[in-house]
Amino acid sequence: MKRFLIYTSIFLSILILFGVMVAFVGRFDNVNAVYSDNGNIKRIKQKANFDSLDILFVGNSYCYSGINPAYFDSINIQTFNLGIPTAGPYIYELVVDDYLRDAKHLPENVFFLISPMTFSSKADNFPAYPIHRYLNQPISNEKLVLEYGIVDQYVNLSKKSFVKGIENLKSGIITTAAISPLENKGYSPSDVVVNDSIVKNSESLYLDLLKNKLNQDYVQHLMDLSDRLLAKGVKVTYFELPTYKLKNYFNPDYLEDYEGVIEAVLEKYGLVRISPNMSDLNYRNIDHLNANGATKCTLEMIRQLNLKKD
Amino acid sequence: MLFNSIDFAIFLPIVFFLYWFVVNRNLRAQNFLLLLASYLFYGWWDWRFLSLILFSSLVDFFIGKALKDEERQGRRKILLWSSILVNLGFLGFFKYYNFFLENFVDAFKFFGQDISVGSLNIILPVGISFYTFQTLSYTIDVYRKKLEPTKDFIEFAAFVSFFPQLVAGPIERASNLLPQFYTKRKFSSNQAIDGLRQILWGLFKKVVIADNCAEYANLMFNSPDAYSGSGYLLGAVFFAFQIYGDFSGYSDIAIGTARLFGFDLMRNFAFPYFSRDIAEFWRRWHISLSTWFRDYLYIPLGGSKGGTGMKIRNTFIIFIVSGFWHGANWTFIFWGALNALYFLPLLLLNRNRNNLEIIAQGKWLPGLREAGGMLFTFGITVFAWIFFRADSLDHAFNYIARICSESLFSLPDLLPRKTVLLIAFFLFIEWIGREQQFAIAKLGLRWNRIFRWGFYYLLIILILVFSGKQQEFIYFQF
Repeated sequence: MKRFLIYTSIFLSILILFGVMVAFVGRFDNVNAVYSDNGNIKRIKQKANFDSLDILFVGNSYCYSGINPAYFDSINIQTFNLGIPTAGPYIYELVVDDYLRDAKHLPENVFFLISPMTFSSKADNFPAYPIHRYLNQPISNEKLVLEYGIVDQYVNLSKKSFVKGIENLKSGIITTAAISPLENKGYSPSDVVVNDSIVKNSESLYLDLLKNKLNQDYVQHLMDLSDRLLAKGVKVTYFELPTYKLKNYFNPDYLEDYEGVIEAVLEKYGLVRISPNMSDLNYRNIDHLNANGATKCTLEMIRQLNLKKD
Repeated sequence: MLFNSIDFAIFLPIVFFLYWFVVNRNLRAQNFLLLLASYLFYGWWDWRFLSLILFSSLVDFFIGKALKDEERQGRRKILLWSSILVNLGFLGFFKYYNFFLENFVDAFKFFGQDISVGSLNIILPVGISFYTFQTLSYTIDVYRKKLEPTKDFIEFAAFVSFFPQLVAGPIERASNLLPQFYTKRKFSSNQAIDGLRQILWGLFKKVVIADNCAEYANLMFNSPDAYSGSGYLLGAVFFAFQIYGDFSGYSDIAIGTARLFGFDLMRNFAFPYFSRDIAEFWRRWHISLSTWFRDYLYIPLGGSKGGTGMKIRNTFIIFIVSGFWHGANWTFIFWGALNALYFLPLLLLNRNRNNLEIIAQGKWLPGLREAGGMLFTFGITVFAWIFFRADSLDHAFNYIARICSESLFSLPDLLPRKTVLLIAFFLFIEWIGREQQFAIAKLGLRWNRIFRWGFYYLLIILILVFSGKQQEFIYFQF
């Protein structure tokens, strides 16, 4: 037994040492982030420049592809599009808290995007988009996985941070680059129009959604966040944007549960469900709007909000 | 609790510590700890089904005791059949109820009678097919007087629910595993290190090979008609590696874990894809199930001793039942029947025991004939796996039709090079280790420790770097 324990301890110690080294290098993943040209990082790093908002839009990539703040500017409503790819309730919470921490004036309204994707297994893909590392007050991978109970993602998060850390160390920590300003208040337009080939090539990413169950913990988390904002005096509204074929990739039980969530948020917070007459020309792929679609949907949202005001 | 989860990584060292450092002086306490740990392990999925295991254990324990005291043959038969009915009754209800119901309704429809019978929303308890067969082996062996029944319920319940092999085997024979619960276990450093090595290799097979192959295979099997024939063929080949990596990986982790606690479980896989004919394949694939069916079904039916008709009948029975054991779907039955068709010519020509020794033993490479046999066997196995993987027979035939398109001879639209390279590395290690119990059992034992540990670290890094999207073990659903 003694021999076994000694050898396994040495073996594991070397492994742990290696892990510590990987985690240490990973800490350099976000140096110079403020100079990054990546749209998502710019949205996070420059969000403090957009203060005293009438509406803060929070959502995933559907949000930054589908809501164009320029149309709100034209009617003197100050907005900012804080869409983050794959964002679900955990990322919503991280970015909203980070925004509120730095804001001199709280936004009057926070609009949360809601979609079947928001409560699916594809939401909050931290290993693909480690946005927690780029917040104004970054959160370590270790703290993130413990706080949200996603320990199984730790290895992938560490891998990503390690690779980025090495890149940053190789290119030098001190930079003389200029800060590249964020355009369109976070909105990211695309002129691509969906076609069969786009659907075929990206379909594989959606197929496993068919076996998904709606994550009720996510629903609760989002509602808790909404209640926290309400307690601070920020009005919360949910909004839903149309997609090309997204709902085909969810099973009927999932969609039924999703409609239950829709009813709940409609009753408690208010919901803007945008569904103008859309055509293929308004989408860039299975679930994202293109610039045409964004224009249509933003104008429709303004129309619906005005109707509400009346 | 999944073997490849953080939960298990915490659970295992705690149980190991308590087992060897806290209750190590008392065999009964060790068995009790194993029983508690096993119930916790199983209850992690759904604690409600613990009552099933407990009930099944109680029934077989008392029937075993009654069989010892009963000499009258008629009564003994009643006791045996009571156990079989209870165990297979549970299995039948949870696994096959809806299947029979649907087919019953379809049969009436076929004859123009529409009947409406509501199906039940039944959740299949994880591993029910495995522990049912394990506990049945006990009662049958006691009935046949090949095994003395145990007097201690803790030992027996621990044997039925032993967590390393509870949910996906190997399906242990009572005569092999139960006596190990009676005897005092002494810690053996070599056995434990060997166990860790087998766990490592099992994890590599599951996390790196099976989970990466699964991504591509799932894409091909789930997608509508959109890819080239070669892509679909590659999807089927990848599924062959997925199911092998998944199931044999699980068995390796199970056997390795058991060794950490001083138990020796039976071997479940012996490099089946290096088989030269289908009979050899079936001697090397899921050995614990094949031998279970051989001992408790095939031989009682007369085996291969009777005439040609009897041989054909028994072969079909054993393969079809084996297919049906895997799941309540016609696809599994078809898969079983197809394997019976593969096997029959060898049996009838008396060539089913031609390849008993390890392929290319003592050599680096196989001969041309052996390589041809191996490729042919792999090819027909992949073909049969299509039925195993498909959701329905229609799905399977459509999939085959898609393979047989003009684009079969073009390059696949998507070629996952990373996975192909990982499979090549995996096959290389399996080939050089094919004469051992598992591929890395002896690999590097004569190397300097730095190189040997370097190899283990390499495997760990590959597991961490190339870990695919975590998939549940396929065999849990059986």
